[in-house]
Amino acid sequence: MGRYVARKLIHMVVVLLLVSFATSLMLDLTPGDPAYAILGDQATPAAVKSLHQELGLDRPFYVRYGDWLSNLARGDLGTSYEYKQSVSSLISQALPVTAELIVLTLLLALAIAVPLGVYSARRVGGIVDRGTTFVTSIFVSAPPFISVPFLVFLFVLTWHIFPATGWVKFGDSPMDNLQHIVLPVIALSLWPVAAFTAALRSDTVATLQEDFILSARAKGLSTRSILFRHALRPSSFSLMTLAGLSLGTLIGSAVIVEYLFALPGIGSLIISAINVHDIPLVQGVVMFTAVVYVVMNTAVDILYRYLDPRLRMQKA
Amino acid sequence: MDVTTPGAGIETLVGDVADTLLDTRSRPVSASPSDRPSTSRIRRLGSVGFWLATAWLVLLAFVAVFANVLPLHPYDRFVDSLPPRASMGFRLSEPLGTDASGRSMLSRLVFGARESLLIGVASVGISLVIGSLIGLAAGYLRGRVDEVVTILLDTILAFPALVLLLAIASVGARSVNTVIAGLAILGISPFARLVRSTTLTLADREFVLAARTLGATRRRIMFREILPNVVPGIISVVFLFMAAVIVAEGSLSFLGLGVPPPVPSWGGMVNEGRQWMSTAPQLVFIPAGALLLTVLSLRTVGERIRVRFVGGVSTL
Repeated sequence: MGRYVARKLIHMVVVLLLVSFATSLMLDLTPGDPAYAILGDQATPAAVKSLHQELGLDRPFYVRYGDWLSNLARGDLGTSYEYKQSVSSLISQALPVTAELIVLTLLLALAIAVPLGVYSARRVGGIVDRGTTFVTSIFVSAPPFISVPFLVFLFVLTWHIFPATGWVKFGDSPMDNLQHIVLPVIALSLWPVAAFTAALRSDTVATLQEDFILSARAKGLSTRSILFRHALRPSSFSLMTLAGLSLGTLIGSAVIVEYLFALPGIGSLIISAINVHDIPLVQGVVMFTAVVYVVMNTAVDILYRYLDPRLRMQKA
Repeated sequence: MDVTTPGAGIETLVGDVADTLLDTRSRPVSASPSDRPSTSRIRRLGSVGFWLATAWLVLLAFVAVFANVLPLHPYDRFVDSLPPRASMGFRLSEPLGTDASGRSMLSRLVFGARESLLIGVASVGISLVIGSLIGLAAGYLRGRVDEVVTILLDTILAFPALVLLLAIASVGARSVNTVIAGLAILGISPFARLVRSTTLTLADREFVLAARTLGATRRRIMFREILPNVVPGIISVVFLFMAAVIVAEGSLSFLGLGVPPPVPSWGGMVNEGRQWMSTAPQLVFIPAGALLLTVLSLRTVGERIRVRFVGGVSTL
């Protein structure tokens, strides 16, 4: 176990080093001089040159990469061209919004997917199963930029239940905050609902063929008790892994959802940064999401092995 | 992990395909006697769905290939006989009405389909070829080659897919080629991993040993013995991947970072129509519906092929 964890961690560090290298390369790959992006097209050559010195752009790539990496290790991601603020403070301001969005989405998705997946598995090919399969296959085929306009049309324009866009901090007014986040959460949870349901369904179908389910049934236990007390737990490994690994997908979808609902999260930050060619900010957000994603994946891998006794016994 | 993720958010690019490739083992699902009639009904319903999906894809491919010779209004000119945002109606020409500035919806939809399919085929083709070569080499040669390849593939997968796409879009010039390149880079990892894992299981089989004993070269074994056995598993992934690519391209164009105007793209059409949501919702619903149908069809066909070739019970 210890050896497995060590190997996973080394792998993670190597991947993160390569990620940081690729990310820092972005500045050099972007056509055009960043100095003109900051100073405007009318900048004098002297001003451009002094800015190059200030930003360290006159030094070779590997020197800048070394600096960038050592700053990164201290949590310093540089300064945004556009906002004249440190990138890490911009990210930490945006993070709570995205975190709230993703946590609520995962909770909602699990709350819907668990009963749906278990009941679909109970009778393969039954009405519940077919209905669920049909609906979730539509969910899965509707990316946020398609589903959000539909949701807005129904909930905002037709029924006037929720506000269309905007954001209120939870600390300022919890009710308003929740009202603004309901629709984004629904839009973001369509994909995980479908994915979680399918994962849980296929595992539960296998579990329900086991002998201990037969014996539970023979004891005369109620269907509900069999499904949720006996079958759910051994069937939830894939679901838990998937819930952990879905973070990358959710970060990606959150970009679109935040943009559509004008939520001031990480997604809105990267899109505005790209639109104004604020390269340090783009790099910072890309690096940050990659680190979160990689660390999360590694944690899930290790946790999974720890939780499943069958895997724990295997040699790493 | 043995999860069949149905995924189709933008990021299913990775999740979906990775899971499809991991789910090569079949899960027996025996229907209880009482289930049998409904199971066969599903199979019939399922095949109706499959034929509808195929018909839609054939229609789409046809209009996309012959877009130039079909009697369509040019996609970048105004329709003189109709005002902007004309609704759908039983007209011989322009049955879908006009867009926000008065251009033909039908024509823009067809040329948008051409753009989507072109980008899809090109990027999937590139990642398929490169990914397969890398996967074959890593899976058959193993050792150092395999270690290096695995680390590099994990590095690409370390970025949430849409975030990586946004980073590439922000670096490259805004053109169709940048979109294709970004999607192709994203696709290399899943294809290489799939081919690698299949190659690993095939490399120890008797027919490979027989070929080696007969003195076949490494290249011959890889391309003539192993590759033909890898292909069936890839075909279904190609369709699923194509669905993910079309979603990703739509998302990029929706954000204004994909196909540059005036060339139409479904994602761009959804974005342009968004501000007319309350008075002319069809501006959004027509391209959104077309995209949804296409993604649904690609997934349906891909899933059917997977069950056919790889075996196993479809979970979605």
